[in-house]
Order: sequence, then structure tokens, then C-alpha cells
Amino acid sequence: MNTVDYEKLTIYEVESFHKILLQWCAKAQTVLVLDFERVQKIDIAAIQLLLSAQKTCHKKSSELILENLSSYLRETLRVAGCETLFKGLT
Amino acid sequence: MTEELRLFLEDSDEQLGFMEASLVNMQEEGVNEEDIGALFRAMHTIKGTAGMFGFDDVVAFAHIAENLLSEVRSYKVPLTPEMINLFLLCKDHTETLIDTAVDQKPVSDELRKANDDLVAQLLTFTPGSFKAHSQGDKDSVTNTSRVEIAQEKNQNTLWHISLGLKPDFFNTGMDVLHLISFLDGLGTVTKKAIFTENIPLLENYNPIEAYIGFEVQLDTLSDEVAIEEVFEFVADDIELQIFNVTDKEELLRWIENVENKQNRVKFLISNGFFDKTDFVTVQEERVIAPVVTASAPTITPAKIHEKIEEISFGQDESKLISKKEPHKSFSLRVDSSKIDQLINQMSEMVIANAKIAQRADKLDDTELSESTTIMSEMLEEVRSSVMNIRMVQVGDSFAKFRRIVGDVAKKLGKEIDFIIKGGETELDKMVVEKISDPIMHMLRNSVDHGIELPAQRRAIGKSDSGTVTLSAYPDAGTIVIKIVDDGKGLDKEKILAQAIANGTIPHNQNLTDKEIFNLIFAAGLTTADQVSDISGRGVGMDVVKRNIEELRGTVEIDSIKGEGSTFTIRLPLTLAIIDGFLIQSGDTKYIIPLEMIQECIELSPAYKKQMKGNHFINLRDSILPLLDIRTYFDESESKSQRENVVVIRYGEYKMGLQVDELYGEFQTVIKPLGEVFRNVPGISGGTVLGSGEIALIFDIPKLMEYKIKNS
Repeated sequence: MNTVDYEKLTIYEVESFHKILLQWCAKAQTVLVLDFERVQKIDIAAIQLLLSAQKTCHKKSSELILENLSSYLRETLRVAGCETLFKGLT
Repeated sequence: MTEELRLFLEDSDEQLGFMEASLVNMQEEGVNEEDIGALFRAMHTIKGTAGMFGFDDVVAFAHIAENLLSEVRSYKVPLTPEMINLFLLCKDHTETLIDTAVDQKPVSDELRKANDDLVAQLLTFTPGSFKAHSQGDKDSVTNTSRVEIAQEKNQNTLWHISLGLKPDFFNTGMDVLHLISFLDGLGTVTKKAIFTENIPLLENYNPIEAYIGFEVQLDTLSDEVAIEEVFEFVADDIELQIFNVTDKEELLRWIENVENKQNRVKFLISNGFFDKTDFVTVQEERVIAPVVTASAPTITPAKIHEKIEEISFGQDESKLISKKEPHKSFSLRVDSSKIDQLINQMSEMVIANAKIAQRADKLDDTELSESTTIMSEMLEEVRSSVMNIRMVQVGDSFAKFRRIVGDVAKKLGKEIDFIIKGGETELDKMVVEKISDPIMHMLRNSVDHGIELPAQRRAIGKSDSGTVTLSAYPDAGTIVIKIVDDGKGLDKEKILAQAIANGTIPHNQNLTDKEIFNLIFAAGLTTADQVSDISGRGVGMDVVKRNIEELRGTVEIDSIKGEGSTFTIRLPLTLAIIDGFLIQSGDTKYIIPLEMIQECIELSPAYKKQMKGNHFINLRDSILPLLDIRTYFDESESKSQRENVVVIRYGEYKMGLQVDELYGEFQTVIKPLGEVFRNVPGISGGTVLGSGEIALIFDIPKLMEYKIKNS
């Protein structure tokens, strides 16, 4: 499991998180699990980046799974219309 | 505080001012469309800008208030006096929420409770909310019929909203999720899906570029314009399409222009927004057929729709116009320091040009002289345009006093007619801002100490309701602001006794009425019998005077016992450049503000003979007091052949300044004199002449004051 080590994951953090995701996706075999326990806030720029990571994983037949999302983060994903797009949310 | 946050505070302050002005105006003049529109726009702007900073409490509250205002604006809910009072409270509450958010303070329990109470009250009036009750008992005279018409048509519409983010969207600083959440407040979001087709793989991904879009279906009472307004702040950075779900022609017209049409159709069908049949072109063909045969074969559904719109424009013109409105730009917000910088640069150009003009004179170069004259005229025009940028109408600032006067009067059980005159008078924005507190203080005093209680007024034959008038008008290069009340007037004996008691003046001093009234500007002096939380502590009038003097202004009092008082504030029009008149006395050159000059005369031997050692002359049968500048400033002997008198007027006073040389008009850039010379009586600043010499600018009010005291 890869810990997403940000308290806030917003437009200000996506650039560095993009670089991290590139590395994680390259290493992932069949599944890439992201631990969101530390993350308290997320915005649409970060959600879009996660969707890109998900596409990248699918391309190489692996899966992206989001774990330990707070109820606030789940609500944010719901507002974005993404609640059914990511695995691990149910 | 960051620059952005400072701008946000400035803007919200302005918007809150608009809200208050509109509400107070409707309280007095009745409900009208213009004020309702201004009120809605102000709340909407606050919500939008607060959203950019993530001030969720402000956004949430403003959103609920805006919802109700939207209903009011579309005549679905009549605006009652009760609601106007509620919105005034909402304005105050929004201000507190903004302050709390900006100061990064936690929301206190008390504030939370106030918030909940106001939200509950707002929901009571909002149709469709669970707290809404019948509107039948809330008729407003002006709106009833229109509301009834609107209510007859009051049916929910299912709207399809397609929102695409342009690549630079993230630069707006706005999280689109806030906007999508707002849609929840407008009605019920029945379907929602994020369009991810354009998101690239991580390898080709630019983290600061937006690739996504949203498809939403919203069941709501709101119209298309109301939905469009949710996205007003990001209008340039999105592709927005809103249409009635049942309007198949609109659907086809839209989908025709969508990039990668097939994928989008697939997306919409797979997410349950539309059926396959919705995209079948049977209806389209039926419409196209006759048109195609009659004209060209290249006609598309989109073109047909354009035609339909063109035909229906006459019937639905207002809708189309209002759709365009949000994109209009009425003003540009510029940091005032940038204008100050521009004025400073202008000032340097004026000085440089004066140097060239002087050089041209010395060289006797006519061509150069002509060029400097043209340059001078152009500089004058630019200067006047630049100064105009800073000028604002005082009425906007005055409007907020209505509520203060109303509130204070209500608290004290008094009835007041508050009249504002000359609101269109223009004054430097900085002066308007700085004069606001002194005016507020004086108005409070007038209501608290000036106007009597209704019963007391009745007993002395006055009407129950007192009148307080706040007026502004230009006069001789200054702006005059007057506060007039018809209350009990100032009590001279009481002021004098107080001043003697607390040592402000000695026991046996002879003072004129004006001098006695001026004593109320001394620190710690009050004649109020009771100290209230409104005024009466004797703290404030000294600060009022100091603030006015800092603006190079003056304040005077006139009062008649039993009839009322008049406070006259006189302020300079601008603070940076003035049209001056250059004179010399002894070895020093001086500037007199041109607008205060009435005429210049020679102090002929005949006049000197008349004077007989006194300091006044008879000018066309009226006495003109004279102030000899050479004596006042201890100048050296005159080298001039003739002596001159410059007749000046300030307010109701006239005076002659005895000077040596008259040089004529001079565009004067006011420069501060620095710490050491700041408090020289009679001098308000300095300026640099073309020759590099310094000329001193007279402080005419101070010179007048000196003359009046010593004559």
C-alpha cells in the first residue's frame, strides 16, 4: 500500500503528486493501492489526476484502489460524480 | 494579509455597502426592481469571491440568502418589509462571517446560533424549502400581480447542464466542485456524471491543465439565467450549455457542435441522461425537409435553430438580453496606489515641463516655447483625466448613514426624517473614505443630543418628527458637507461653563458664539446630561476635528438654541495637484489655490491713505480685512515697485493678502514639507518651480483663522 503523504491534495500539490504517481504506476504490477488516511482535503485538480492514474493503470491491466478515505473525501468524490468510478470506495 | 485577501475584503465591503443602500432605499421608497437586482448581485458576488478563498461558512450562508433573493428577483416571492429587515440582519451577519473567516478565527457557538436562526428565517420564506410556508399572507403592493402570474406558471423544469472546463480553468482559483454543490441548492440534481474521455495518461498529463467536464440534470423552479449565474465567475473558462431536457432540437443542436460527438452520445446514453431515440433525427428531418428544398442543401439543424431563435427574438428578447448581461463589464478595479503612482509621475512631468518652458524663455526660442505650451495643455488634460479616476460620488457613501440614523433614532425612541442632498457631488475617493467616520459621529450626535423626543417636540410646537439633512455641494474649489438638524441647538452657557470647569478656557475670557461652539471640539468636553452608548462621553468631537484637518479641511458650527444646529465641513477637492496662483512676498515665492481667488488689485496710494495704519481697506463699499504676508512670515523688505492685494474667499469669509509680485497661474504639484515644517501655521505644503526653486503653498483656512482671531 502506498501512503499518500499529503494533508491537502489540491491544485497546489498536484504537480509533486503527479511525479510520485508516475513512479508508483510504473512499479505497480496488478494493483496500485493508495492509502488516503492522512488526506483531509481534496479538490477537482487532484480528482482529475487520480482519474488519469486510473486510466494509466487500466492501460497496463492493473487496478487503482483508494483506501481509508474519510467521509469528507467520499462526499467530495460524490459531488464530483466519481463515487462509482474508483474501487475501494464501497 | 495577502494582496488577494485585501482585495477580497475591499470588494466585499463595497458589496455589503450596496446591499445596505438598496435595502434602506426600499424601506423608504418601496420595493423596486433596480434595488432587488443590486441586492441579488451583491450577495451573489460575495458568495462567488468567498468561494475562491474556501470561506465555506460565508459561501453556505450567502447561498441560502441568494436562493431567496433569486426567488424575489423572479417575482416568485414578494419582498415584504419583514424580509427587508431580515436581509439587513443577513448583511450584518455576512460581514461578521467574513471578518471571522479572514481573521482565521473559529466560528463561536454564539455566531453559529445566530447563523442557524437566520438560515431558519430565510428558509421560512424560500419556496420549496422544508420550512417554507404559504405565501398568501405576504403580499406586497407593488409585486402582487406579477407574483401571481409567476406563481401560475410555477412548475419545475428538468434542465440538462453540460459543463466543460477549458484547459486554463484551474488558473481561476475556483474549485468547480463548489459550483456544482450550489446546483444542489437550486433544486434536485437527478443525474450527474463526470466526463473523463479527454484525460490523458499520466505520461502525457499536465497537472495544471483541466481536461474534464460534467453532465448534470437538475430539476428546479429556477430558470436558465439563474443556473447560468452560478457559473458567472468562471464564464470565460468554461463551455456551458443549458437546455430543457424535453427540448430535443436544442439537444441535437448542442450535440452537433460537441467535439468527438459519437463518444459524447455514447457517454450520455450509458449514464442514463438520454435514450438512443433522443438522438434519432426523424423530427430533425421533418423540420429540415421543406427548408432544404426551398433554399440550400447545406442547412444543418444548428442553422435551423439559429433561424428559429432569430424569429422568436422579438417575443423573447428580454431573455436573450438578460443572458448576455453577466458578461458585461462596468468597471475595472485598480489598486489606488497605482493611481497615486501615476499622479506622482504626472507631477514630475509637470515640473520637468515647467523647467523646459523657463529655459525656452531664457533662450528666447519661440518654437520651443510653443511646444511647451502645447505640452502644458496636454498635461493639464491628462492630469484632469487621472484625477477624475479618483473621484467618486459621495451619495454611495452617504447611503449607509440612512441605516445608522434609523437605528439610533429607533433605539432612542425618536422620529427622524433623514434627507440626503447632493449625493451626485464628486470627491476624491480617499477623502470620501476618511470623512466617513467623522460624518457618522456627527450624525449620531445630532440624533442623540440634537433632536428632541416626540413628546418634547410637540410641547414646544414642533412636529413629532425631527429632520436631519446631510448635504454636499461644491463651492470655490472646495466641497462643502453640511449636517443640519432642527433639534434643540447647542447650549452656549452650558458649553462655556463646562469648558471653564475643566480648564479648557480661563474664567474671564470673552468669546464669540462661534468660538464657544468650537469648544465642543476640545477633548473631553460634553454637555450631554446622560452618557449613552451612542454618544455623550466627550470623546470623539476632538477626533472628528483632527481627522477633518488631516484632510486639509475645516469644520464650523452654527447653532440657534431651540431651532437646531448646522455643522459645515469644507474639504479640498483633491489632494495631489491644484491650479495655483504664484506670487512673491519678500524673497519667497508662494502659491494660492486659484479657485479661492476672487480678484487681484493694486494697493494704490489712495487705498494706503484710507488705511491710516489699520489693516483693512474699503473695497467697493465693503470692508476687506488685509493680512500682510511679509509681516506674517517675517519676510525681508520688498524689492517690488508696487504692492498688490489678492482677494480670497473661503466659505463666507473674504480677506485680502498683501503681497509684492503677481506671477500668474501655475499648475501646482503639492509636496509634503516633511516633519520639521509640517506644522508651520499658514503653510500646507510646498512645490517645485521650473527653476528648481521651492514655492510654499498657503493654508488659506489657517490664515483666515489667524486673521479672524487677531482682528
